[in-house]
Parts: sequence; structure tokens; C-alpha cells
Amino acid sequence: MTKLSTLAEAVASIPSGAHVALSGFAITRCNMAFAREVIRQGIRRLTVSQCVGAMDADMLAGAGAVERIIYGGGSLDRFGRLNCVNRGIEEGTLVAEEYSSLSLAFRYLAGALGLPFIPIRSLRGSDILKRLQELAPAEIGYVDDPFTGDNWLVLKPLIPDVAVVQVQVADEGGNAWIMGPRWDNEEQVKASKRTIVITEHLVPTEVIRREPERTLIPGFRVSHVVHLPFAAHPTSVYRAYDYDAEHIRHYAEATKTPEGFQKYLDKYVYGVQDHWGYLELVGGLKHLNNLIADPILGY
Amino acid sequence: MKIATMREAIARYVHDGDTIAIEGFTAFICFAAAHEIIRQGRRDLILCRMTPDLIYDQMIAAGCARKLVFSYLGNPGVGPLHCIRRAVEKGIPRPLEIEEYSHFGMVARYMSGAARLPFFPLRSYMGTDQPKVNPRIQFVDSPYGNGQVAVVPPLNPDVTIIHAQRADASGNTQMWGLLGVQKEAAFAARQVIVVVEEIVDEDIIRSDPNRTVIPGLIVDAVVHQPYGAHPSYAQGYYDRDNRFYLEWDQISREEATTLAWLDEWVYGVDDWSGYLAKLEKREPGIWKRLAPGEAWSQPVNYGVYG
Repeated sequence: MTKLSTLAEAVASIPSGAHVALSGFAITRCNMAFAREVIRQGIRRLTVSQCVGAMDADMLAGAGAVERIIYGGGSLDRFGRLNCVNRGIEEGTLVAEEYSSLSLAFRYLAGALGLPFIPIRSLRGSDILKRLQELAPAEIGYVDDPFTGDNWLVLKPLIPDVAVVQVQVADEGGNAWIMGPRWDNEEQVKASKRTIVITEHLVPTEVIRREPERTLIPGFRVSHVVHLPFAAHPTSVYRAYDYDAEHIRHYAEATKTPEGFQKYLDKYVYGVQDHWGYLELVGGLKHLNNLIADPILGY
Repeated sequence: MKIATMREAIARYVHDGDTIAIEGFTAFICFAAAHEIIRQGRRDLILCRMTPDLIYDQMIAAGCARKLVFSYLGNPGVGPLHCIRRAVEKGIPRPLEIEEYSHFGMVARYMSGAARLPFFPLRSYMGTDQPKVNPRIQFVDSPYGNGQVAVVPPLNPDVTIIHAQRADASGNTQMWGLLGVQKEAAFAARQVIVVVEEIVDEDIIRSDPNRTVIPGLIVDAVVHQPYGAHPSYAQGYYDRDNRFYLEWDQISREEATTLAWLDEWVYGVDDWSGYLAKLEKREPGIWKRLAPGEAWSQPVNYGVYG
């Protein structure tokens, strides 16, 4: 059964107030076209989670689409901080539940396995735990280990309403491969109630079946498949294209002030009709061609 | 240098009384390692495995083990494991303690061991009698008020032995096909032996990083042993020898025939090459019969970055 949809259709399926898990990590495999479309459609009050805060979350937070972020810290890697997320926290417009990246991955794992809780060795003795206890006391519990009697921190499962995952390869049914690092993505998908797959390449199911162990995301978890090249621009997608250093540098600079970010949004998000308009605006094929991993040479 | 012969690896890492996991679910079951452990006369082992299969039936018949930690006991598709049954029911050749879980219970024990957690929760065992016979299955109330859940303790083998298609000399190990709980069992272990069909250059491993199931940094010994999983199979290298699984049902019914088989096929040869030579002599066309044919996967382009 085909689950192919346009980006606009997939985004429209997400109501304001939903909890969205994002696949990005700093400036890699971020759901950038998705974030721009969410902002254009005016979806608000989202809860966003990811184990390392990334550019997609930052843009959504800056645009006022996010009410709460559940994450393990984050950055724009060598290009700087998540200015919009940080500003939101400092000004009190954004609630941040901060975990370690591993502990968030464990919360997804508990969700994926349908467990009521999961024990973890991390967080104890840290100020992260202290702050979580102040901010979200209902999220922190302890149990006695029946084997040793020791008291252990156990985390609650995290069950997002929808996971949005940028992948390299998928078929129409949503069976998808992620190449290169995958961090928490498998657990995110399996914890979430449903998944939107955004893919660089759309392939026939027989190609997917040729290498079953690469299928990280099974189609039955997927509600929408969006085939959209360069959907992660300006962030990178392993084997497809590199990050756009110039553009990310520009973004990092623009987000230093609310005014600068507003100008950025006006130009790159509100100033274009859709993803294709955006790709033209950032330089079109001539520019994007510099970022592509050449299929012949491999780089 | 991690490359070792099977004899060296077993002598160095497997000791009397150790807790051992030889993992691999249906495929990749390392009989070559089991036979070497039998030949070296190890005793009092605690053997852990999802599906003990013929491999532990043979080791238990040879008197290597004092305890079996497992899920699902049987000769898959054929019948019971007669040697383990004799050990449990009659103490032949010696008494065997058993500790039984569901499959996912074993997975959870390895996961807990791998992540060095105190226990692992799982939504199993409710309404079953298994907790009554296994005190290591406990129940805990969730502090979040969302119900009660079973928990099992970590399993940290002294040695985990994994069979795979290929590894480099550092032990970076790649597998494809039907995987089991190898990654978790390896990370949970204090020491890891990998046994492979081929040792390849590091470049080949690096050309396809997502296939690396076990990283070299947790591997202590790499043993090159083609056909080391017979009568089990290695995807793309040889198929499962179902005839032997049927034969074993007859061989193992009586203690005497079992011991005669061990004398001939395990004690009667110096090493796995001796076993393979006997196998090929008995059936010259065996590898042709078990050849899996070719179904190559499409290479993928990872690109060059940074």
C-alpha cells in the first residue's frame, strides 16, 4: 500500500500540541524542510524530543512552534549554539526537560518495548537529575532491585505522537534504511505512535528486500512517506550530500538576535512557497551540486 | 595480536567453572568451538544460550556442564534433545541444574548485562508458571503507577563465543542474515572470542560500517575457522545440514551411541580440520549439497566526508 504523500500533507497530519520526535543530530539528518513547512502551516505548542538537540528543533523553537523540548543538550556543532532554544529557555517561553543523551535514548527504548519503566546507571549524582526533579517530579521514580535490594533510578517511557525521520532510502510502504550513524532513531520510531519518513531516494520494495537487515524502519510503523531530495538542507545526509557550511554560518549569525532570526524566517521560510522555491533561493542546482556526494566518485 | 587457533583461544579463555555463552540463533552456531571445549575436557561450565540446540546437547553429553541457562529446549523441527533430557531426568553423565526463561527473558538478561544494569524489565511471564520454577524472575511495581512488570537479572558471561561471516585482525566483526542476540551477549561478556569464515582487511570492514555487529575493542580472540558452524549455517557461505539434525535424533537417543559418536567425531580428531576431513570423506559432495547459491546485495555508496 502506498503511503506516498506531499510534505504539506504529511505536516498537516500533525495537530498543534502534538509531541514530535525529530531524527536530527546537531547538523546531520535534520528535518529542515519539515520544520519550514510546520512553521508555514502555523502549527504551534509542539513538544519536541531528540537525544541531541539539532538545527530542526532550533528553527521550530525560534519560530514559536515549540512549547516544550525534551533533549540531551545540543548545538550546531562547530557553527555554534542553538541560539533560539537557548533564548527560549532564558526568556521563559520554552520549557526544557534536559536529560543526558543516553537517558533520553533509554526513555525511547522503554517506549519501544512497551515497558512501564527502565533502569539506568546515568544521571545519579548530577545536577541534571536535580533540575528534572524540580521541573518534572512526576517523571522521576525509583524502585528497589529485587535481586540486591539496592535502590535504582528508573525512567519513564517516552511515547511521542509522531516520529519524523530523515532517511536515505525508503519504499512506498515506508520500509526504510538509515545509512551511517543512527543514534536514537530506531528507538524513537518504535516508541512513537506513528512515523513520517522523509527520504532522499524512493526505491521499489524489491530493492529493500534484497538487504533485509538494513531495514531499520518497518513500513507498518509509517503513516506517510515523503520523497523529497535535499529535505535536510542545510544539514548533511550521509552518502547523499554534505552540510552547507556557508548557509549554517549565516543561520548561526542570524539567530543571535530575534530580529535577525525573523529576517531569516521571512526570507527562507515565509518568502518561499514550498521546498522547491527554497532550493532555488539558496542557489538552485548550481549551488546544491557542490554539496552532492557524487554517485560515480562517491564524494 | 588477536588471531589465534581455536585450540589456543579455548585454552586461554575458557576455564573450568566458567559461565559461557555460545550464541547465534538458528544460524551461526559455533560447533567448532564446542568440540574444542569438549576435547580440552572443560568441566562445571554454566552454559547459556537461547535455544540450547544440538551444540549444548553434545557438550552436556560430554560432561562439560553443571548448569544450563536457556530459553526453548529442543532439536528444532525434529524433537527433544535427548542428552539434556538424560542429564536432567537421570543425572547422566552428571546432574544438570536448569534455569529456564522465555526467549525475550534471555535477551533482556543479556541487554541488562551489556548495559551493566541491575535488572531488565519485560512484559512477559504474567499468568505463566515460569516464575514459580525460576526465582530469578521477579515482579516489580512501577513507581509511575502504570502497572507491575517482570524483571530479570543481568547475565554477564565470562566468555561469549560468536560465529560470523568475517572479521578483520582486530576483531571488527560483520554479519548479515538472521541475527540473534550476538551483539548483546558479546557486550555483556568479560571476554569475547569471534570465529569467522573469513579474515579480511580492515578496508573491507570500513567499506560497510553498518554491517559491523561487534566492534574489535571488545574482542579478545579472532579464530579463522571456515565451516565452523556446521551443521548450523552461515548465510551466504553454506546452508543448514538438516540431515545431521535428523541423524542426531537417532544418535543421541542412547548414551552408548552418543558416546560412540563423540569418540569418533570429536575426541577422534585433532581439530576442526579433522572433523571436516571426515565429513568430506563420508560425503564428498557435502559442500555442493549445502551450497546456498548466489544472491548478492547491491553495494551502497557511503560517500567521502570531511
